[in-house]
Amino acid sequence: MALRFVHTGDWQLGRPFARFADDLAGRLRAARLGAVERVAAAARAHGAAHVLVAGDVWDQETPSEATLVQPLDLMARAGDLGWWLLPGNHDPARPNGLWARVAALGPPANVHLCVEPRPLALADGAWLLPAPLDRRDAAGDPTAAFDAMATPAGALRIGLAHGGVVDFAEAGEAAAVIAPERARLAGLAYLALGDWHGRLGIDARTWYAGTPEPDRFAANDPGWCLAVTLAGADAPPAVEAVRTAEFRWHGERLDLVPGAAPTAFDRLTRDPDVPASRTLARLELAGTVGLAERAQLEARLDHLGRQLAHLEWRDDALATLVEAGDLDALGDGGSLRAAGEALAARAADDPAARRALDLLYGWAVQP
Amino acid sequence: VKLRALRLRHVRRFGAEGAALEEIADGVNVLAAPNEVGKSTLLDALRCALFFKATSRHRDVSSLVPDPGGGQPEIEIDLDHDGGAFRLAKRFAPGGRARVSERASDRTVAEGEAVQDWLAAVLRSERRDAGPPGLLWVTQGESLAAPGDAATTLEGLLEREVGDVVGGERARAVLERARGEYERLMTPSGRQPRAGGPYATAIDRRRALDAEIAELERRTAASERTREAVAEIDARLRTLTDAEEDARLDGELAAARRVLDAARAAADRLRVRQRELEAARAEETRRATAADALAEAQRAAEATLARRASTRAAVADAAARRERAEAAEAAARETRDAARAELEAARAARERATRAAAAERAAAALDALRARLAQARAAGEERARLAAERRGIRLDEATLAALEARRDAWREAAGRARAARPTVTVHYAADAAGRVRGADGPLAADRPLTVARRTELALDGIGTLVVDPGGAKDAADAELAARDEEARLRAALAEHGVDDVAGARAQLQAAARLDARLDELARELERLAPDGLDALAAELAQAESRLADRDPDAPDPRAAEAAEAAAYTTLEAAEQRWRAALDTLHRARETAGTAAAEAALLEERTREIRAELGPEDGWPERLAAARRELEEARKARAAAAASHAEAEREAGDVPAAEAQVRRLDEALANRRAERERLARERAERLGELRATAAEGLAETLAGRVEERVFWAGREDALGHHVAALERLMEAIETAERAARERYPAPVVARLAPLVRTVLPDGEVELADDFAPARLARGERVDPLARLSGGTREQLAILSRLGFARLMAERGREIPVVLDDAIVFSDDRRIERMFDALTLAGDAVQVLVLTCRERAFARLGGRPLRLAPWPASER
Repeated sequence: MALRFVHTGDWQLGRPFARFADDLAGRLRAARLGAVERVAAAARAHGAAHVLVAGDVWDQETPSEATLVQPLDLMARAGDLGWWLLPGNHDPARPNGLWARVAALGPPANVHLCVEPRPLALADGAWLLPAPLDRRDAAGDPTAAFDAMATPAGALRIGLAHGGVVDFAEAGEAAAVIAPERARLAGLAYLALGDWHGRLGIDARTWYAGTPEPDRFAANDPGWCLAVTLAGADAPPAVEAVRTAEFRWHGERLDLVPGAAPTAFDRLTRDPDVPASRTLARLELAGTVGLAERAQLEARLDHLGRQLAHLEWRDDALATLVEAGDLDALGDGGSLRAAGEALAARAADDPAARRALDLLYGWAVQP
Repeated sequence: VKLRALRLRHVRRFGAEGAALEEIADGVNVLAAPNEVGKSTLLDALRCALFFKATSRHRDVSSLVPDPGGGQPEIEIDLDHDGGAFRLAKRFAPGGRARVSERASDRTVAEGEAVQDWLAAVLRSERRDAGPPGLLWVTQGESLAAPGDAATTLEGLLEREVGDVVGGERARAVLERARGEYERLMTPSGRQPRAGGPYATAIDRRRALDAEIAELERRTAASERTREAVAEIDARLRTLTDAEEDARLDGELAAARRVLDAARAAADRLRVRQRELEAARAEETRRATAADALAEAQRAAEATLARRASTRAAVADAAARRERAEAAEAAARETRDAARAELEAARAARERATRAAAAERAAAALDALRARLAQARAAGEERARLAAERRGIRLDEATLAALEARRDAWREAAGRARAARPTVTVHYAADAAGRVRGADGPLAADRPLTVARRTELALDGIGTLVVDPGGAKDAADAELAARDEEARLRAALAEHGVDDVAGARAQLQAAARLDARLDELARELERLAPDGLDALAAELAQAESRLADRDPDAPDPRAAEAAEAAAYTTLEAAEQRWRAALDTLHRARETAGTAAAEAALLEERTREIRAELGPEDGWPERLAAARRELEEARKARAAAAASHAEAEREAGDVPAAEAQVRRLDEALANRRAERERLARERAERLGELRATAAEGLAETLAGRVEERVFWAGREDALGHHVAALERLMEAIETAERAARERYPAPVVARLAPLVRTVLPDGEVELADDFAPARLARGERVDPLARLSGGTREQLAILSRLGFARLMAERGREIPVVLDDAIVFSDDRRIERMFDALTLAGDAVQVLVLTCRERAFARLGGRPLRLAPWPASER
C-alpha cells in the first residue's frame, strides 16, 4: 500500500514583517499562520496522514508565547494528521531552547518533535530519519548519519533535513550543506528538505518543498507544499505541488528604453491567481528613459502603488536621457530653462541633480 | 493706456457742476494751478476710479464723498488702450454703478463686478500702490522715494527681453513649491531636519530603533550567555552527580578514619611510656643525690672529729703561753719604773750645773758691758750736739746756685757799667821820661783807666789833663743797673746769713762734714747698743742680778747633761721592752680564748654528727647501701627508656591522618554543596531563560530590525529628496540671479538719455531692485544717499520716466503722473528736468500737476485747464 504524506517547511512563523505598514504586516502574519491550515487541507485532499515539516517551523529561537502556541493549536485541531516537526537553523534544538519550551508546554499528541537524530516509526514499514540542527550555525552534513541509521529490513526510509544541497551561499541561510546524492547513499525512498524557501527538485527522490507562504521577493517559486506518494521502496516518488500561498511577492528588474512604455505593471495587476491587493512588488528600475517619460513613469508608479498591497522601487540604476527638445518645455530662455540646463549638465554624475531635474520637469511642465 | 479725459462731480468740494480735464494729449500735459484748486482731488479720484469697486467702503473712497447732501461721487475717465477708445464711468455708493464702454459706440465692454477685472487686465495691476501704476505715479511728498517693487514689476516686463513666453513666473512657482516642500522637511535657515517634520521623524525613529535594537541585542547576548552558563552548569552537574565518584570518596574516607583511630591509640600508649620514663629518670636522680649527700656528710663529719682532737691540744698550749707572758710583763714593768726614777735625778743635777755656769758667765762680762754702756752714752751725746749744729745750717746746693746766679748777674751788670765808662790808656814811648799821674799816682803803661767822673790827670812836664765823661746816658743807666743787681745780691746774701758767695759755699761744705760725722756716730751706736741705750742698761742690770746664782759646788754642766741623756736612753729601752711584753700577753690571752671557744663548738658539732650519722663505725655500711639503691634506679630507668623507644617506633602520624579525614570530609561536603548550589543556579538561569523566551525577545528584535529597515529607507529617500530640492532651489536661484544681472541693461538704456539731459556727464547704476543706486559723474561715483535732495528727486523721477519708456516700448504704456513732484530742483536743473520730461513725452504720456505756475510755464507741453463737467456729458 502506498504511503502518502505532505512535505512542507520554512514556515518561519513569527516573522514580524515590521518593515511594512501595520495593517499589511498583520495580514502577512495572519497569512503565514493560516498556511498551517492550508497545508492541512492539502494533506487531506491528498489523502495523506502525515505532514513532514523540514525545519524552520519558527522564525526565531525565542518567539512570543502566542507565536509558539497558536500553530500548535492549529496542528492539534488537525488531529487526523501527524505533524513531524524538524528543528532548522532558525529554530535549532539547543538545550533548554525553543524545543524544550515546546516540550514543556506538552505538545498535542499528533505533533512529533524530531529533535534527535534517530529513526522514528512513521507508519507501518515506514521510518522517518530526521537530521535536526542543534545550532544556528551548525555546519557539515546533518544527513551523513542517515547512512548508518538502522531500520528494519525492507522498511521505507524517508529522510527529513534542513540545509542547502547545492552551495547556495548567496540564497541559502543554513550553514549545513547536504550531499546531493544522500538519498541514494542512505537508501532513502524520499529526502524531504527545507531551507530553500522555493520549490525545487534535486533529483527524483530529493525535494525542497519551499515555504507555503512567500515572505520575500526572491524568484524561487515559493508558495507550495508537496503531496508525495511512495508506492514502494523502489518506485520513484510521485510528487505533486499544491498551491498554498495567499500573497504574491514579486521582485523584478525592469530595463527601460526611451520611448517604450513598460508593460510589467500590467502583469502585476492582472495576475489571474492573486489580486493586486495581495501582491507585493519590488521593482529595480534600470536602463534609460527620457525626461518626460520619467515624469510619466513616476506618476504610473504612484498609481500602481495605490493598487498593490505594497510597492517599492529603486531607480538608482535608471538613467534619464535629457535631449535638447526636452528642455524646450521649460521655455526658450528664462530662469526655468537655465535651471533645467544647469541640472541636466550635472545629472549624469550627481543623482541629486538628476532628481532635482525630475522635480523641475514634473512641476513646471506637468503641474 | 493713455488718459484722454478725467471728469468728476459730487467729489469733495466739487459739487454738481463738477470738474473736468479734457483733451489730455500724448506726451507732456501740465495742469498748473494754485493750491486749493483741487489738483490732488483729481488724482485721488483717478485712483479710486481705477482701483476701487463702485461699492467700496475704503477710506480713500469715503474721502471723496462731499459734505452731506452733496450727492454720490461720480467719476468718468476716457482712456485709450490697445487701439480702442473706452470710457470708464463709476458712481461710488452702496449700490454704486460701474461701466466700461467703447466711446464711439457706447457699447458696454464691462459692467459691475467685471469692470475691475477689465481694469486689472488693462493696468496689469489690481492695486493702486503696486504694479505699473504704483511704480510710475508720484504723489505729493513722495518725490524722493525710490520706485516701489520695481523689481517684480520690471522683471515680469523684462522677461520678454530675454525669454519668450514662459520664464520668471513659472520659475518662481517652481521655486515656491520647492521651498514649501523643503521647509516641510527642513528648517530653511539651519539646514537641519525640521522637528516634527517627516524627515526628522524618520531620523528620530531610526535612531530610536538603533538604540532599541542595541538594547535588544545586548539582552539577546546576555540571554545567550545565560544559555551557555546553563550548559556549563549541566556539564558540571553531570560530573558532580557521578555515583561511582561518591562511593570512591566514601571508601577513602572510611579508610582514612581507621588509620586515624590507630594512630590516636598508639599516641596514647606513647604518652604512658613517656610518663614512666620520666618517673624512672626522677628516681635515678633522687637516688644519686642521696648517695652523694651521704658520702659528703660522712667526709665532713670525719674532718670535724679530726679538728676536735687538734683543738684540745691547742687549748692547753695557749694557757701555758699566757702564764709565761704575764710573768714577763711584770718584770718589764719594774725595770721601767726604776729607769724613770734615775732619769729624774739626772735632770735635777743638770739644771743646777746650768744655773751656776750662767752666773759665772755674767760675772765675767759685767765690766765690758759697763764700758760699752759708757761709750754708747758718749757717742749719743756727741750726736745730739752735732745734730743741733747741723740744724743751724739752712743752706743747700740750690740756694748756693741761686746766689751764684745772682752774683754772676751783678758782675755782668757791673762789667757793662765799666765798659760804658770812658777809659784812658797811656802808651809810654820807650824813651819817655815823664809819666801821667792820676790821683793815685802814675798811670801804668798800657793799662786803661776808667774815668767815671771828672778826673784830672797830670802830665809830667806838660800840665794837667782833665778828663770829663760828662753826662753820658748809657753809662749812667749801666751804672744804675749794676747798682740794682748789687743791691739784690746783697739782700740775698743777707737773707741766708752770709757775707758773700764764698762764705755761703764754706758754710755748705761745713754742713757736709757734719753729716759725715753724724753717720759715723749712728753706726757706732748701732754697734754698741743695737737695742738702744735702755736695753743695754737693762742688760747690765740683769747681769748684775745673776751674780747670786754663783755655786762653786755645782757639777760640770757637760757631765750633768751627759748623765741625763744616758738616763733617758735607759728609760726608753725599758719602756719598749715592757710594751712588747704587754702585747705578747694580750695575744696569748686571745689565743687561749679562741682555742677554748672552738673547742666548745667542736664538742657541740661532734654531738650533732653522732646524733645524725650514728656512731662512726656504722658509716661505711650506710654508704654502701645508698650506692646499691642508686644502681637499682639506674637499671629501672634504662628499662623505661627502652619501652618508650618501642612505643615511639609504634606511634603513627595523627595530624596527617586527621588532615586526610578532614580533606575527604570537606571534599564530600563541597561536592554536595556545589551540587545544591548549581541546582539552584540552574533553576535561576532557566527561569531567566524562560522569562526571556516567553517575552519573545528574538521576535521583538526581528520586528525592530525590520522596522528599522523601513525607517532607514524612508530617511534615505527623504534625504535624497532634500538633496534634490536643494539642488533645484540652488539652480533656480542661480538662474534668477544671472537673469537679474542681465535685466537692468534695457532699463539703463532707456534711462541714460534722460539722465544725460539733466546731468550731462551723469551715468546711473541700478540696484537689484532697479532703484537708482549710484550716480557716476566722470571719475566720481556717489551712492544715492550721498547725493543732494534735488539730485535724488531728479533721479527718482527720471528712473520712473525710464521705466515708463521701457514699458511703453513693451506695449504696456501707463501714464506717468507727477503731482507736485519736482520740488527740490533749482531753476537751472528744473529746466533740464523739463527737457527730460519733454524727451520722455515722445514715448510716454506724462501728466504733471503743479502749483508753481510761473516756474512750470517753461515746461511747455499741453497746458490743461480745469473746466466744469461738460454739459453734453451731464
